[in-house]
Amino acid sequence: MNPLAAVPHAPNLGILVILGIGVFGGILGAWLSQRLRIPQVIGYIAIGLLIGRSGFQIIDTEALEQLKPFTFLALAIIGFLVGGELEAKIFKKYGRQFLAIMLGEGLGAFFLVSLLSGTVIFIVTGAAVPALAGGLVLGAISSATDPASTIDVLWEYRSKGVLTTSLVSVVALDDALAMTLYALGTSLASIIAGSEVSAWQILLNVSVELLGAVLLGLAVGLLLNFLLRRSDSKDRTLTLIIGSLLLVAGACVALHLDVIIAAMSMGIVLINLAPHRSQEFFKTLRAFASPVYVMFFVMVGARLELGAMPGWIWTIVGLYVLGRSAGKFGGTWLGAKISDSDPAVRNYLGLGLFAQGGVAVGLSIMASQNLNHIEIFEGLMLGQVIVATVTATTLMVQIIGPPSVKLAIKKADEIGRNVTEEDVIADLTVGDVMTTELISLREADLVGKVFETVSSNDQLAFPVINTEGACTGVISLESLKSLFTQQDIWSWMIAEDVMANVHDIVSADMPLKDALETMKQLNAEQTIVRHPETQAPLSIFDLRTARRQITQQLMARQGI
Amino acid sequence: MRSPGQRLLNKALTPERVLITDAPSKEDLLYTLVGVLGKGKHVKDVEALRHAIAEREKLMSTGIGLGVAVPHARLAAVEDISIACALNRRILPDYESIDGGPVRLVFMVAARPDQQADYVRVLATFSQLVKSESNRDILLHAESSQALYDLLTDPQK
Repeated sequence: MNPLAAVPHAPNLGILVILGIGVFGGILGAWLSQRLRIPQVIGYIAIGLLIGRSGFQIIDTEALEQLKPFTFLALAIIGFLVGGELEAKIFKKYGRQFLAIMLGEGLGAFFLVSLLSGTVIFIVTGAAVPALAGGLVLGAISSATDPASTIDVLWEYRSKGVLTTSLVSVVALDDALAMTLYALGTSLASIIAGSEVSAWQILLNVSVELLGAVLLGLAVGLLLNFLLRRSDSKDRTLTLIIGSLLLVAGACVALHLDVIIAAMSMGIVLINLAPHRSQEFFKTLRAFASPVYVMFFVMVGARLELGAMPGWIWTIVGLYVLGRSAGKFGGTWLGAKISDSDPAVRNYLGLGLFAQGGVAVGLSIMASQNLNHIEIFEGLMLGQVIVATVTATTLMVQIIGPPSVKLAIKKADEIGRNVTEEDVIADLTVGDVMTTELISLREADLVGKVFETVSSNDQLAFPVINTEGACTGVISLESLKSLFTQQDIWSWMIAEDVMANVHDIVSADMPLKDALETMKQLNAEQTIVRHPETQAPLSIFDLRTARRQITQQLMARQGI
Repeated sequence: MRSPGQRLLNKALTPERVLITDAPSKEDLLYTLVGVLGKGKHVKDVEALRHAIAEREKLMSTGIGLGVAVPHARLAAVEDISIACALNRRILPDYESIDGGPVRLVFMVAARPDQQADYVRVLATFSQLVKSESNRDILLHAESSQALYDLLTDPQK
């Protein structure tokens, strides 16, 4: 019996229920991952494994088939967002480095995996043809890196810097290299194996798939840019983008073009034709994409099927993972060295390229169709071995890939650098930005003394305290204005006479965002923060100091 | 042309709030003046005003010297600046003025907490009025409350 035969199906649930279970399960997985301090994408995939073909089969083969269009939409969104990261100015600056690194890591993985897996197949079968064909195809597939899970980790940890930029660019580009290598490898394998489909035919098919996708993406991207220029609301913008992505994904499926490459080309068109305006589109789409992402990765896990495989295939799996990792790491180092890249890129970028996903699985399925005539043993075709190997290795590298990406950005000190002023404000309370050194006045201080204190300190407002130390009022420059020309009364008027009432509009533990909003509504520049029980003055909360602190924290977190 | 402080004074002081008194002590006189202000439409809580005036005196005496005192307070129980004035026939030896001397002429000012600028203008106006010895003498020798009112509201006369 074929050891890779499918297991029986579980009862069929409605597709919407499955989507719901997937999204909620994924969120649970992400929560667990965060508790374990590992990237959330692993949690999504683990839940997928649990409820998918290798687990309880809540999502079975039939459901996966029904959800296929959803996968294409998810891939389109991912591709589009990745394209949005690829600005021409970055390529002008780093293009040579990216190309060198991509060739280094892609070819490194290709050669090592081809050599190792080909050798194992040769040892097992004793036949050169399946060994050469299998080695070449597995090598080509191994050069692809999964942009989705890599980028999910970068977003989860708000990474920013030269390593992050390089990583996004390389994972976005190496799919094209993988497909080219695949076309060459499969053509060569077909020639060696004497396939019915000619090598030229395969090369032509892949070229059409790649070039067609690029052309389609560029055309729709231009049209979308034209339409978005006329869109005046966020809702319409989102609708236009989703609509375009659905059309592109649908057209790609119908025309057998690569979805990711087409959507990526759309993203590239937008970010480069309207860099400022597009940032907003990508931000809007990213907010919408979250549940789509969750479901996509749950399905990645659910699709993996790890049935009983012969031991020698596990040997290929192990060597594939080792060879691919070593090839990517070593190739990156070499490419970065030759192109004189930043040390952070040279030393850590390779760690970020281990993830393998949709493109690899897709290519393995294509290979199983192209090479279905090569038999290894009776009843076991080379195509099946390739699918099984890629499935198992995808699972393994999806487990080691995301933590490696995290390790790379951690080593390069790029975690948490992609922050905005709103992010900083959201993380702070009033207590974090209020002035801690405080000079107070006493209620009975003569106005003459008040002027002396105010003029010799930079403080913008002064709390007035009673004999118990409680703050009963506040004196600001504004409240002293009316006294400048009335020096006659300075000798008998006291602080209590001129102070303004304290309104407890902010407290030390109040979120900074709320406090800033309150101050804006009241048109106030500063206010006293009092202890909630003793009413003792804790600090001055003044907008000027708060803004300075926010800017400082923002710059520190961005590593400027 | 009247100063802004003088205009405020004229608006906030009414003839019935100008008294010739014969109080034996500071406490008695302040009690009387608070009572007079309390009858006006702008003071909503006379006890709150009494308390605020007393608290202010505890912090520092409002006897500004030269026989004059300006007890004052800002509080929420007052809707608009209100002024009362008393010329006491007897000297008040217990006022603890900043010059240590006795007090006879007392201006009481009550205002809303946010009326700080107007409040300061009114207090400064009283300070100006009593600064010159001749003015002070005229005020201290006013024969009736109406005469005192006229002197305060039209000092150029």
